[in-house]
Amino acid sequence: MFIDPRLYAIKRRLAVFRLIVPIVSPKGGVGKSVIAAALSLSLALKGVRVGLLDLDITNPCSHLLLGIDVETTKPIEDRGIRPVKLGSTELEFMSIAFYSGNKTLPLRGTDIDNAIKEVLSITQWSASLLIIDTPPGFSDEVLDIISLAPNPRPIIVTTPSVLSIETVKRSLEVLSNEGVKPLGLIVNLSHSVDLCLQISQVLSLELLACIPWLTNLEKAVGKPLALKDLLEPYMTKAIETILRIVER
Amino acid sequence: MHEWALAEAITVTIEYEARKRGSRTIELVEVVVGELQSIDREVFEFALKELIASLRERGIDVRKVDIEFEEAKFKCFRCGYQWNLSEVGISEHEREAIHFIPDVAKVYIRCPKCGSHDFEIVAGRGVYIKRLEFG
Ligand SMILES: Nc1ncnc2c1ncn2[C@@H]1O[C@H](COP(=O)(O)OP(=O)(O)O)[C@@H](O)[C@H]1O
Ligand SMILES: [Mg+2]
Ligand SMILES: [Zn+2]
Repeated sequence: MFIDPRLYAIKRRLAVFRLIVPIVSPKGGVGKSVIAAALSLSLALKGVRVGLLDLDITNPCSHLLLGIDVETTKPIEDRGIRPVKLGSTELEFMSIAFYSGNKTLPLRGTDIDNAIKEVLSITQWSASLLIIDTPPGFSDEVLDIISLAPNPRPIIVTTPSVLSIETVKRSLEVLSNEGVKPLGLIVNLSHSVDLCLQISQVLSLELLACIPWLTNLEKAVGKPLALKDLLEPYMTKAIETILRIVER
Repeated sequence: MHEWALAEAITVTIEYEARKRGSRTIELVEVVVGELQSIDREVFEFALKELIASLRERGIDVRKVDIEFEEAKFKCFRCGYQWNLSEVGISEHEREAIHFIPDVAKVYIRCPKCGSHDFEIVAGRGVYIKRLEFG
C-alpha cells in the first residue's frame, strides 16, 4: 500500500482559492512569466489578495522579474510554509527557487511531479486568487495543476506567429478533453488589435489582452512596479474579468 | 514547524480514507518518513499525537501508529553507483532546503563516483502511509 498524504493536503490547501489561473502556452518565450507577474501585481494593487506561484520547476524566473533575492529572502515556516510578501503589497509569492537557489534543477519527470506536489502541499496561502506561472508545453507542471486544482481557469498566451497559434489549437483540445475551460486568450508581441481579435476568433477564445512589443520591458525586469505600469494599460479586460469572478 | 504540516497531511488523509469507507476505527497506521525530510522525530511524533487526538473528537479513533524512518538511498542514472547520505556531505543550509523539497537534493548532491547530478532517489525521499488497517 502507498497512500500519498500530499494529495489530500493539496486538496485542502487549494480549497481556499476562489479562482486559480494557470498562465499557459505550448511555446516558450511568448511572455507567460512577464504577464503572470504584471497581472498579479495589478490585481494585488487593486485590493485583491493574490498569490503568485512559479511552477516552472526546472527554470524558475518569476523572482527575477519581481526583484526578489532568493538567497536573502526566505518563506517563513509555520505549519508549512508562508509565501513571501512582495514589499508593501499584499502579493504572496512562492517559488522552488527559494530552495534551489539560482541554480539549475536537473530534474526528470517524476522529480518535477514530486517537487510540485511538495510545494503545493506545504504552502499556506491566505490569498483568494492564485496565478500560476508555468513552463511551456503540457508536461507535468501543467498536467499536475490541472488535475490537482479545483476548477482551474487557464489563460492561454500566444504570439501572432502561425506556429504558436497552431500549437495553441492542439492544446485547446487537450484542455477540453480534461474538462478545463480557459478564461481567455492573451496575444503578446502583436502590433495590431485587429490581428489579436482575428486570432481570438480563430481560437474561439475571449480576448483578454493584446500586448505590443514594449521597448522598455528589459529595463523593468526586477522592478515590479515599472513592469506592472508597462503592461497594465493593455490588460484592462483581463483584470476586469478576473475581478468580476473573485469579487462575486 | 514543517513537522506539523506533514503530520496534518497524514491525519487529513486518515480522516478522508475513513469517511470514504464509512469506518470510525483505524486499528493501525504505518507511516514512513524519509531521511531527506530530516524532520525532528520528537516534534513529528508529538504533532501526530495531538492531531490524532483531535481526530478522535471528530469521531475517528486511531488505535495504533507506527512510524518508520527510512534511510535515503541514491542511484546514479549515468554510472549505476548506489550510495547513501552519509557518503556525501551536505551543509546545514542545504539540508534545510532539502527538508522542504527533497527533490532539490539534485542541486546539492552529486554521484560520488562520476560527479553526475542525474540520479534517482531510490528511498527515503518523503512521507507516505504504508498501511491503513480499518477496524
Ligand atoms: N510585450 C513584450 N515586449 C517586449 N519584450 C517582451 C514582451 N513580452 C515578453 N518579452 C520578453 O520576452 C522574453 C520571454 O518572456 P517570458 O515572459 O520569459 O516568456 P515565457 O515565460 O513564456 O517563456 C523575456 O526576455 C521578456 O522580457
Ligand atoms: Mg516563463
Ligand atoms: Zn555516477
